[in-house]
Amino acid sequence: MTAEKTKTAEITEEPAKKKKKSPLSRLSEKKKDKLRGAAFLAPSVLGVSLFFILPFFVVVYYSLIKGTLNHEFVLFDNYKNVIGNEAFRIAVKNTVDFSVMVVPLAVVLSLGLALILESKLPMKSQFRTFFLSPIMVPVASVVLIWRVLFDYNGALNQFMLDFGLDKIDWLKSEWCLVVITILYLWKNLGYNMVLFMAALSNVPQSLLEAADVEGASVWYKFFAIKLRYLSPTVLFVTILSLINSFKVFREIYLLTGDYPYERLYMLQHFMNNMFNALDYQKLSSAAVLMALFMVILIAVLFKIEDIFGKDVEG
Amino acid sequence: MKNLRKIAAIVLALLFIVSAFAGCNKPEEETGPAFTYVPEYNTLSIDVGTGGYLDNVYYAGGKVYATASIADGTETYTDPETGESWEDTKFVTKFYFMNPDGSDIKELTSFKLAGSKSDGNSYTNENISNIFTAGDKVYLLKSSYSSTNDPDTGAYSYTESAYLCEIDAEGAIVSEKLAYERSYDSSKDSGESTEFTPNNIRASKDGTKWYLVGNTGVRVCDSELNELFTVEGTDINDCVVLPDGRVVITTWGDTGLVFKVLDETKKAFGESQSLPNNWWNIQQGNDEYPLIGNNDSGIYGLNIETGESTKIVDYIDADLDPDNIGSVFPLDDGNFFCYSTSWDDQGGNKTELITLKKTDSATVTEKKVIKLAMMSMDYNTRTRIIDFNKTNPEYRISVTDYSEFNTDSDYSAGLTKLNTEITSGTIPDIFVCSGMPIDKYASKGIFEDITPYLEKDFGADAMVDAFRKALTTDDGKLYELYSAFYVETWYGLKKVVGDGTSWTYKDMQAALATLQPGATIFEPYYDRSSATSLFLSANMESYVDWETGECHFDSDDFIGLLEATNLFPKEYNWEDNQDETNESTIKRLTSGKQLLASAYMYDLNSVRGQTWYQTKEELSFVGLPTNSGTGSTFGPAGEGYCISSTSQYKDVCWDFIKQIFEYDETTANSGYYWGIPTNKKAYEKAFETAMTPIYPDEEAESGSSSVTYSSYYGGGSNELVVLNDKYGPATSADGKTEIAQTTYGTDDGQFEIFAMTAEERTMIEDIINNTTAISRYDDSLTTIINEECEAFFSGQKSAADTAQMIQSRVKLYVNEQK
Repeated sequence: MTAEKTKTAEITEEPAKKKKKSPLSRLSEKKKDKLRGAAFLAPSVLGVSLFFILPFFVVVYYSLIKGTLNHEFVLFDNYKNVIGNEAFRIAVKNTVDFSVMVVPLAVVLSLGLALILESKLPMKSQFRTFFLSPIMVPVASVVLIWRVLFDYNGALNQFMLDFGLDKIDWLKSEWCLVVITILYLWKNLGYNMVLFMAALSNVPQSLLEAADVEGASVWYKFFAIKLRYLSPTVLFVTILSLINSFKVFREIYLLTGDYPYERLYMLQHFMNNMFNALDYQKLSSAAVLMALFMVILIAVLFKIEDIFGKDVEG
Repeated sequence: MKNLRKIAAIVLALLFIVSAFAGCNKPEEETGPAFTYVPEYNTLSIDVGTGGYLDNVYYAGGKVYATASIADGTETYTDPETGESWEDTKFVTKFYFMNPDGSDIKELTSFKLAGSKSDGNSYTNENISNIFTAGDKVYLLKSSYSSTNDPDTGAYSYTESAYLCEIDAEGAIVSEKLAYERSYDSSKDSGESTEFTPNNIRASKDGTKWYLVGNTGVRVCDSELNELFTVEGTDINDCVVLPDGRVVITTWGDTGLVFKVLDETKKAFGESQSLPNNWWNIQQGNDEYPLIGNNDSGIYGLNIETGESTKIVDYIDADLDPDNIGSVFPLDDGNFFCYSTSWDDQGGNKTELITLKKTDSATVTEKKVIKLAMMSMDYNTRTRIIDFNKTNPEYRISVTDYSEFNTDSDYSAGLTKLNTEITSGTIPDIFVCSGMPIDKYASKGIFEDITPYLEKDFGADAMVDAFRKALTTDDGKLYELYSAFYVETWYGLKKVVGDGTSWTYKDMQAALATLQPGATIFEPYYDRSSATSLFLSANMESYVDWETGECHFDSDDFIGLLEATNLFPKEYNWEDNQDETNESTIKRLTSGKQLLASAYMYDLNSVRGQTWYQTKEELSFVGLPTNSGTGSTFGPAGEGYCISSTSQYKDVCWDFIKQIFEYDETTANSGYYWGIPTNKKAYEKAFETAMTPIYPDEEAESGSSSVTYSSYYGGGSNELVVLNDKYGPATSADGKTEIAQTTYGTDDGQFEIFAMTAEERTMIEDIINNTTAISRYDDSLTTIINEECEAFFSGQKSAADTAQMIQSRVKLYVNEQK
């Protein structure tokens, strides 16, 4: 009796084993692909959430409470306080002024350089290396060179004195923006140029050849064909240049410290100093306002690109 | 291959996730150490008599040995030069032996020490330098010194020797070996001996080897003290035999104490390694920490191989005052033995034998912890904390000295750490004000307003008014409590500077013009930079309005200030102007060479000694030129504390900090040690005492006065002089002449300061009451101004351009603070 029962059990187990399938195998290939994708994305999503999204919400929270020690909600009081703060307003004005001045320059000059290097220029690769090299130079070295050049007793003023000209306090006068603009362009043009060169190589040659056959001018070919195809890259380079224009604080800070000449006082100076002063409410409010401004600006840029580049992107 | 890639991707993803959570472990300090050291106190019941004291305490072989100077009746002493004789306490040296808990005290009568004897031209001294065990025997090192001096010829001679003595349980010497001996006679010899002179001796564990430690080397000897070899070195401090038999020496290196291991086979010292944490005493340790050392903060163990040190015992956590602690001895069971001698105001002392017992933290009664943050530990604060911890059954204060986190490359690392902790919500309950950015923390609401606490315990009118007003913020809050204050002011001759309590730069320049050509405003060593800092210290409020964020550094007034600094040298040359700087300030002032001099009122007598006791000329305390206030500033002195507004134990914190403000009328003890008391009752009492003449028969009583007798400035001569005969001794109704309250030294000699007159009190109180500001240092503001002034001082920029630049930069800083 017992032996029989055992045998029956063996017989019934056999088909069960054959039927057993993993839950994944029951999914369609499309769903499996989605799951795989999600699994590969998970670490990045987790990392971004943990290190960017969550801290951002913490910053928003800090901007809405009375203080680090008193977590009473004050709604927009901190924002009003920040907007009413003259130092913040100076920082915003300087940052906007600087960005408005350097971003178009960075885009136009790097595009110009890319176009020049695209033509049949001798020593093309050497020029490309030359313009790319500032990316590799450490910031501290760049700042040192700039100090040597633009200090009140620096090389440039010495040179001017030799020619009978008056000395200029480059970093503590209205000239400071010129100095920082040169530094910014020198550091960023090369990378932007490479992006444009890559984009230019993707402009369909057939269209350009057809235009040549039709007798189109160089300007026409540039504005009607190349620029249209370059519009996504223009947008990308603009956003990149905008972000880099905010990051110029690093160079300014190393050149002039916490409290530079008024025209060089940027938003990040304000935030950095607020951090040192333990004023996290002003810091958070300023950061949120800056983030909002950036989001709106980038959205507008995307919209513009969408309008101009729609037909070439298909 | 495909599976391998999948596995690799999954592993990397997991690693990423794990690493993201790596920082989420519970902080170590929250769990606390597994063991804590609990002190067990035993009062040493040896009656040393009045003036007697314990010389030395040693722990060896499980027993404590102590030598003491015991008061034993009186003796007649005679001055060999004058023949004058007097009676004084006679002291005898006795040798004791006891258990570490102080029980079974036995005087080792068999061992006799001569102690110190002097008869004017000869001196002998015999003492015990060390007691230790080797094998199962107890040894001591007996040092003798005798010297004679010929008063007629000036010749002198001395003999010094040391004997290694084995003693029995009764202290009787079983054997005695000469460790070293040397003598010198100035009449016979051309120079003092430079031969090897040991200052200590150490034994190997079994007693077969002895190490004589001298400044110039270590002499290795056999059991009979015969020299085997000597390893030479320089600046050798001490030597320790480790539990594993290795010998380690400590010497002074370039950056402090270092240790080296003695290689007996090579007969040389090994590489030097730094000893951290300013150790000043080293001992043989145990297997875990072969070398034990201690400093002002605690007891440390050293890993010889890595050179890493670990703090084993924190003195404050163990309720020990390092200022009272003698040598520390590690015991075989992991505990430590030490002794503490504390002195009272009457010169008496109390010695306690302390065993620090290694105890499982879980078994120690847990107290509520009050966190105290400081930037530097001082004697008074430490004593106060230890007393609190020892006596309070419910709370204990845990101290973090953030200066310990400073590094050579970052002197503000400690403050940065404190700021970070505050930001993350870990806020100390009590802050010691010294070195803290008080204004910044107060503006962030970190401090509690102590007004209600102060008024509840001491009344609304308890603090000296002018100082309280200066401390109080614009919104009427009081965050800091200090025991005392000082005033810094500037004075000149009344006929030159007028009799006002403040003046402007123009007034100052006009007054300077009345003096002889070449006259200076301050002492001649003030250069442009230091003069600017000084002017600004009294004028910052004129140029910055922190409420509105307005700055006035581009004003004509500030430009005038900068231009006024042109009256000072660019850089003062000390070497070329020795005569100028050697002349006393008061002489320069009265001879028309100098316009203003500073006076620091750090007690009620100090300003008198610095000023009107030195000249008959009428003086005026006009302060520095300023557009507001008086140009004089208060400075906090003594102890100062703030309480955190988030503390759960504010009342307990207040009970702790208010001690510095308490004043006991019966003992006139105000709890302050330096400065003018902030407590109004103590302040009044200080005036009362300073105004009460002391006559000869009251002299002894005046020792308990609350006036601080600290006005001893270094002078060139000890001759007693009178520089202003207006202030002389009073005469009592019974014809006695008043005794000086203190003396003050100048280049002209010493002069005596007598009881304060009512007129003097008015002058002093006028200075205090006219002072409105607290001296504060704003690092960012000062840095900006100094940076910009450099170009002006070097003549590269005009005063107007410099002022404009300062305005541009300071405006940003000031606006940020709004």
